[in-house]
Amino acid sequence: MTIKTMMAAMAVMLASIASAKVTWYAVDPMSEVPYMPDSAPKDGIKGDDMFILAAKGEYEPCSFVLTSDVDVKKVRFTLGDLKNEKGDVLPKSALDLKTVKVWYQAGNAWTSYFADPKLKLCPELLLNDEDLVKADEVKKCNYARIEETKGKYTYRWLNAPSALDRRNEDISGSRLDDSFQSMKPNFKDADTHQGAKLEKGRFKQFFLTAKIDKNQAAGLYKGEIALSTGEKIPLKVRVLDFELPSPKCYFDENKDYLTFFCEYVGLEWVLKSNGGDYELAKKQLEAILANFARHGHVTPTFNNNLGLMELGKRAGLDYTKPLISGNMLLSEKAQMRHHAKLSKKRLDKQLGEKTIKFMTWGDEYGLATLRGIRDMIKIYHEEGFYFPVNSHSGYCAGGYLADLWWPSFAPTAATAPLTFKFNQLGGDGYFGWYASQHVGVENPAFTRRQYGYGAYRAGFSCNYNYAHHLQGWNDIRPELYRPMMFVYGCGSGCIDTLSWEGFREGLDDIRYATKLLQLAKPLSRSSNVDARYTARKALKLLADTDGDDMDLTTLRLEMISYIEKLAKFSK
Amino acid sequence: MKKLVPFCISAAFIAGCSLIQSPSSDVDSKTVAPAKSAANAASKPAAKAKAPTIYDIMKAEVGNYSWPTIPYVELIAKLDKLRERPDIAANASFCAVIDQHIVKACKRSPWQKLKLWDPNLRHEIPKYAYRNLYNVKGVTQAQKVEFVWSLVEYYAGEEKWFEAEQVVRDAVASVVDADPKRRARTQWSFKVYLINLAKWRFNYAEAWKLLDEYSKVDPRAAAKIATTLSHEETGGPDKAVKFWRNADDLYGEIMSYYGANPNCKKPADLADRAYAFVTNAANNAGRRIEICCMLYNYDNSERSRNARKSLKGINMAKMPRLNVLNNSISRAYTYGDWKLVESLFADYEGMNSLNTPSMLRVRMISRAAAGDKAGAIVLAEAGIANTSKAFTELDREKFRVSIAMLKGEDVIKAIESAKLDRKNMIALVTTAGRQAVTWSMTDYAEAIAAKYSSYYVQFPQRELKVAYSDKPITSINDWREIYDSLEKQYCDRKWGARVDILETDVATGRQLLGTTQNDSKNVRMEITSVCDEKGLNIFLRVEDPNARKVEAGFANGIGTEMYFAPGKYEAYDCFGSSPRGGVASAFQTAYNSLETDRVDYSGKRRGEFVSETSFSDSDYVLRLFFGWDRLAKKLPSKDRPWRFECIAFTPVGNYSWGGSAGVHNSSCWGNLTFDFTPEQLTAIRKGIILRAVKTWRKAPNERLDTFDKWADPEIGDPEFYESVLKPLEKELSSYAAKVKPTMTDAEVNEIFENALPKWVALKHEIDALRKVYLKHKFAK
Repeated sequence: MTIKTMMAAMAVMLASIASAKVTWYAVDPMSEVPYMPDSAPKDGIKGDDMFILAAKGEYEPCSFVLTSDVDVKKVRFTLGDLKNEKGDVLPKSALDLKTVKVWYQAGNAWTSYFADPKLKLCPELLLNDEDLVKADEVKKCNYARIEETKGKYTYRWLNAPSALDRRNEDISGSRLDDSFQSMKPNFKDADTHQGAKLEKGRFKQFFLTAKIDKNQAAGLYKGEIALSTGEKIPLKVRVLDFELPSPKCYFDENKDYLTFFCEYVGLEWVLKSNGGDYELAKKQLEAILANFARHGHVTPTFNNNLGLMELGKRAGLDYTKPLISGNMLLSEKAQMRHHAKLSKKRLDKQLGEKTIKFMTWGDEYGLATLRGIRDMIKIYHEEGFYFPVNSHSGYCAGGYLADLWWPSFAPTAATAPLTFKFNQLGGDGYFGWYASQHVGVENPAFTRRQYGYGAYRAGFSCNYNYAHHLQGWNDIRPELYRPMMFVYGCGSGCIDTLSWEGFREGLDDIRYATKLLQLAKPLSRSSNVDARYTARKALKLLADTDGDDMDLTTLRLEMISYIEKLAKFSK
Repeated sequence: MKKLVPFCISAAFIAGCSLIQSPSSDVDSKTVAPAKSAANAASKPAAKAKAPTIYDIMKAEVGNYSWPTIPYVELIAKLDKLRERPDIAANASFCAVIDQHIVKACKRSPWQKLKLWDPNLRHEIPKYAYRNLYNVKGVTQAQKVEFVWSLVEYYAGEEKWFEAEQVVRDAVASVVDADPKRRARTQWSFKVYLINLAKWRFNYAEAWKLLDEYSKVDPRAAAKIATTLSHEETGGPDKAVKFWRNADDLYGEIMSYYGANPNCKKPADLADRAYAFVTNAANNAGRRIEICCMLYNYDNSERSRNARKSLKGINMAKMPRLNVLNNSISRAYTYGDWKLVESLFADYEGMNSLNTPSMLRVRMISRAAAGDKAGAIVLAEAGIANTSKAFTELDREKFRVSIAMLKGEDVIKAIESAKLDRKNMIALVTTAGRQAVTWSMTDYAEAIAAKYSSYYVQFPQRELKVAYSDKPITSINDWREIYDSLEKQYCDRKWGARVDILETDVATGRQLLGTTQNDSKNVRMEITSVCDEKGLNIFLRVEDPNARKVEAGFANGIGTEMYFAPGKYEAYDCFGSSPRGGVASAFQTAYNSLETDRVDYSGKRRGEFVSETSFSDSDYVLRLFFGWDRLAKKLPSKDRPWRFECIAFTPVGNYSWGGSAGVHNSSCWGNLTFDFTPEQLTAIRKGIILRAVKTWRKAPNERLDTFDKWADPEIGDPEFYESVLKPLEKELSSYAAKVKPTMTDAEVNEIFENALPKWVALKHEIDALRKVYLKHKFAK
């Protein structure tokens, strides 16, 4: 292309930008419905301001949908510093804009973790460069952009049928034998937002996250999102005058609410995705664990969490929280006792005596096995270890043994009577859930409720789901379950998704509820009647709320209203 | 040089002992593997006369004595009784073998026995073990070691340390051998357990003291124990160093740290010593290769490359198969480290285990993936030229198609020119497809995938037109009256059929129909559907002459797994049924929200869902009823079919209506289609409105709660009420006032469109309004 033709092309592009009329809709970043390219957002508010309400130290998103009356090859966004009425600055570096990529996922996308052999469009990925993945609406499939050499790209088909998408034709395979090795350096998102294409009459969602510094002054900060097409979307961020505590339980506002995942994330799995590059794998794993921490998942649940403790700590994981510290040795009694004592000595030295250490054994076993391993559990209990069990049917025989019970329950109001029973056992036990549903549903509202207020309000004290995978760029490759993705592995670590943001919002809902309880409980017995009334109204808000169906953004706003009122009394 | 026997205890015995490996021994070879040698001893005379061995006898009398299907208590009683049979009792070797298995059964972990387990069995160990010790004929030395170990473990488990040590002391004292060296070794085969007993009590000083003694008798065995003992006590290797020095066995030391105990911290200089071992051509070639594979096949670092290169000159073809080599190649391939794969093949060129079609393909794929297409073609051509038996015609065709891809030729033409039967043809296509995606050859991959898909028949979309009945259908009896007039469809598509299709000629599709209608039981699931003004009925009927037996519980009948969604891509529910219990529980994929109202499958909410079963002499029926009210915002129409699937688990296989390949395959479900007349639609809508407004009017308290709560200055937010809710309340009340039985069609439709969605989801409507209100308030 000559300079002349390039100039002409640029002139055409600029002309189209100049003449474009772009409309925006403020939408719910945690929407229950997917925002699709072919229809205006049902619950969007046309032309409304972007607004973020966040505590100090919190990550909080807002979202908007754009549509244009002409094709715009690339609309670019400029985010400036925000200022409050006192002149304090919320720096633009605290803002992170992403395009919500709509791509092809299995037919059950948005609603279920079960596999389906056909593909449909579904919003999911949060990308700086939307061209990293191409969703071809003619062929109805996805392509990954691979950088072959500096600046030279090819597109690789991602949706081969299940039987063909195998690397390990002649070698006994593993769970991670997708033909696409997504964590090689030639496949990664841009470091900053690269703008986005707008097609005439179609709709595209964007996702803006603010990370509020802990020292940011409270107040209402104002700024704008300037579009290269000329529009300016007003952006307001109100920083609340408090920090959030770590999540605690509804039934005990001082007991940690924990998050676990079946620990598939680890060096071994990253190596299988990046071509066996060990040094790169360490960096990628650290980036993924840092991403865990940024999303509130600070429990070190990843493969070899103790062997890579320094790396985990650097990433921001909290090794003082209860954690899975190893496997019990199921053997003759004397050997078990020896192993338990040795493990205790080693782990106390590594983690400190106070840290709660779970020792695991087996998976999904029933009543008979649970009865058979009682001796082993007792031996490890005697050394101070905690025992987690994910047996569904063994409650009657093992309820008294379990320090973490996590059957395959849906964390809903229907299971609340069961958590209540367990929580009455007087120990320091945790009640978790998994499988109903497993990771994989793209709907952020569903994830937010499942890992957040729904489980919290139903009396659960932890999430322990399966799983947080890194591969799975071909959603139709597995035949029973979808790939169970919260994030997608790439050359620089991982790519976030709507659902993963929903996970963080879920935990943040619990943190707000914890803040409310921690303020309201002491005040509910205050001699100041007004304080007492306000505290009880705040407590009633949570007590009256059905975790299964109240809009959680509304609930969050109500909780913040009460927290501000209660804080005044506390002062 | 005297040949040392590294172990004198059985593999099973070693598995039970985490730390202690038995000393080397001069005992004769019968003691090397006790079970085997005992068997040999026991069966030798019989073998000549082809008489049954003790194992044959036990199997005949008891059945599977290793993994029984009877309770272990019964197994032991049977073995004990067998031991008393005169011909067995007369054979001391036989008795010892039986007792070995009784003790094993007593020791078997409860988690391995599950329901067959008895927690008290372990206390029987002394009884059966002791009777084989001390002056008992027919018991081999290895068996004695095993019995002693069982006793030591048992007593230690009970924390009876004195008894545990006494067993060892007695065993040591019982050894009679004129040769002092041999006697010492035999005694240590028991005495070594004192080290276990010491460390189990965390008396490491005693353990080391004993190990020092042992080292004088068998330095190598002692050094192996020292590896783990040092790690356990100190977390490091320091205390083991002198033992390995004393053993003077670098190969053993490397194998101990890198092979048997990879988690033990290694001496700082071991890596260098291992490297020196591998690169020293004077060392045993097999051992050099083994260690090289273990340590230097995992990356292409300079040291690893040099270690591997140092093997040049060894005649690889003479080396035995090494799993560690193939495993390391597998690992590199699984990681997609293509260059490393190629390096390993090159460095171990000639090893027999690499000379197979699959390993050749691994190398070819890796070479091409690393960018060396020409080199890959050379390998593929070698594969085609290989005429050994291991290389089949299919292998050769695979290599030929690979060459076509690597040369950029027409791959489909290459595939179609293969002379293979259908099954092999599909294998060829599958392999070609996998290679194409692995090589990121997108055009080829898409073309091959299309070819691959052509081997499968896509089931046509199933559709069942739902009849509309003016007369209410409120029961199975109502349905029986109109049964003859309804369209009937069947669960007749074999579930998971894709797997089968690979083996069949799909051109006609004839294999796709289920065979239940022709099988001896002749039962199949029939589906009919009819709706009325109140909701949708789906009837699952099984014509079965044994229906009464099913009703009485003497036969199971057909169970199901079903899926229901009020429209394409809507959140769906999954539920199962049994002939007698009907629908018992449901798995739902959404919470309640403004968008979704979950159906309550418990049947507690009137008119929402009904599961009803009925039996006659000739059939059994399940009625599923979905009321319109709960799904009012998603009513079906001509353009909006509802989705349904039923997988029937019949006595002759599993069949589905829609054609699901697996569970929850929503794209495979069928459509329930509706074609309401305007009158029917109005009747449905009117019914929904009347019931909704009845609830609105009938529950003033709830209405007060909903709106007046917000108007209350203490518990509500009067400003929110005035500005947002009051207008809504007014609007809905005005619509409610219009509701009467004589509404015109236009009025019905107006109310249905504007008021009904808010009435049925008022709570969520207010949540949504409140959200916007509060957001704007905080934004000010």
